[in-house]
Amino acid sequence: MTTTTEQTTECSQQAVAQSLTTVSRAEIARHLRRGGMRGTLLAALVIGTGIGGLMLLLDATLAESIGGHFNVLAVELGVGVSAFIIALATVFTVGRDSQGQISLALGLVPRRGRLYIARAVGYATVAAGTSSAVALILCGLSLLTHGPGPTGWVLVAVPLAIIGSALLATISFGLTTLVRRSSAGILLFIGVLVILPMAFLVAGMYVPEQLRPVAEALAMNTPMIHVLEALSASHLPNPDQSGWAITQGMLGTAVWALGLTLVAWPVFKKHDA
Amino acid sequence: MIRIDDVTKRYGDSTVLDRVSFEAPDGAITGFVGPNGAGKTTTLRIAAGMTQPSEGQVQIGAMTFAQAERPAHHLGLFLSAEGIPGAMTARGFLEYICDTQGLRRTRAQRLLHEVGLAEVANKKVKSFSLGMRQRLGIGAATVGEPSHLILDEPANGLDPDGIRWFRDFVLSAAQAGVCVILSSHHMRELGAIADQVVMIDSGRIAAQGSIAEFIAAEPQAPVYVETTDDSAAERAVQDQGLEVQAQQNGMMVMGSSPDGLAAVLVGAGVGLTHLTRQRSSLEDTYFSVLQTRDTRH
Repeated sequence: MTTTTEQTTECSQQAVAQSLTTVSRAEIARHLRRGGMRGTLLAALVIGTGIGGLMLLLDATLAESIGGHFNVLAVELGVGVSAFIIALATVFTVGRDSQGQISLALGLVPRRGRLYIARAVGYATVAAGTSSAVALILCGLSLLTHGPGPTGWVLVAVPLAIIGSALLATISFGLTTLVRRSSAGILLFIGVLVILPMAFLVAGMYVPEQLRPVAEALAMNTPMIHVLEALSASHLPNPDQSGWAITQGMLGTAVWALGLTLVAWPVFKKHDA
Repeated sequence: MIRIDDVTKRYGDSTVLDRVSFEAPDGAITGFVGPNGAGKTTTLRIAAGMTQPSEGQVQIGAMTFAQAERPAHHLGLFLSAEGIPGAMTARGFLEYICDTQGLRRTRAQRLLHEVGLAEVANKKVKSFSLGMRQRLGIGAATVGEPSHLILDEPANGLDPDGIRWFRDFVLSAAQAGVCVILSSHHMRELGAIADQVVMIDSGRIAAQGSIAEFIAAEPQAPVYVETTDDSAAERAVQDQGLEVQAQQNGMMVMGSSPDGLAAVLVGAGVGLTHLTRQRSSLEDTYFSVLQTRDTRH
């Protein structure tokens, strides 16, 4: 256990100045290790691929295949399911991190801003990686079952999966950092993503006529609606809908993700581990 | 050198640390002692940047810890075995540390061998005993070959082999010039290896000084003597009006200096085989300081 000259020399030669990249990579590797998020990511991959794949296979067995638009919908659904599973896993893991992991990490990365960003990047990256894998597998399956016809539209789902699920995981990260606990994080996640838009829609039915557009606008700008729009690659083959809805969804989700991450930063900064 | 400078920590109306200041020099082991709840761990967590002080600052070497470009090379930390995430494997835990510091993962593998955990490297930490976690935590503190070490209760749960291993480890680290702050309740162990001691009580520094000052002999301390003829020695001492307490292999004589006692015994024709003035132990001084404070309160 004693320090030898050889080890010291080796260590001094290896060690480099710590950077955001170094810490972000360490965070990603932590999630992919046993005891990290590996199991959940694999489950998200299997479930997302399973649901999308089942839809594609069912369509392929129909006498008159719907194809085209339906193929994109299948990929979109698979990606959406995996993205939400990862978002929930992120809530659990960020909450669990508050019991020991943050303390450990602060002793290794004393610059809190660097650690905070690296943590956000870590969760976003594994979410993006897993969802894009789901999208790519389903693209391949679509190619096998329906030929190259709808591949162009289906491929659009890949970048949407990468950005959309990364942003959704960042929303989970921000929300749970605010409350520090998995249980409270889950409640907040459900509250913001599910109850909030419903609450605005219900409120819209009871407010005076002139306020209804406001309530509707509020409901349409909640994270869940934006995320669903952001992942909707199936809008594209439909001539009645444009890519603008997807862009709007992406921008809206990005604003929520960035906003929540910024709001949660002072909580992390003052966190006494 | 680690310098804790006027550090105060308040939680609401409660002040848990009140202007705590001390300095731990390079190449020395600074024992940090105090009763449970005295503020030891809070002080060490503030030094490591994990807890924000309400006032004051901590310098690790020439900078604050947050300014270190290679954190694990600047400061090695072991604050609690319970703080090691239980869901991680031993290997995963050490590799994560290497990853954050940009070090090769082969270093983690070597450390697993050094701390005797290579065979359980892929087991989750939550299945480890306290002693195994302690070894892992201490090993983790050394990943970056740090120039400063902060160790909080590192010997808890270690078996005798582990304690000896740990003692050798901190002594050789200090000899190599590392600044070590060692918090411990094992007074005897600390008394044997520390160069200086800082004592905290109720969030304030109660005493600090070199280990020699902490265990210095008092002028009226008893003298322990072993002789070739205990009964003749006892008679000679009692003839001088000195108080004697028989011990298993010798006797304790009160009210005499070692020189005076030696003269009496040699004069009586008794051979001396051992003679020493009893010194206070670190534990004695520790309780004495606490008692003084209790009396004042």
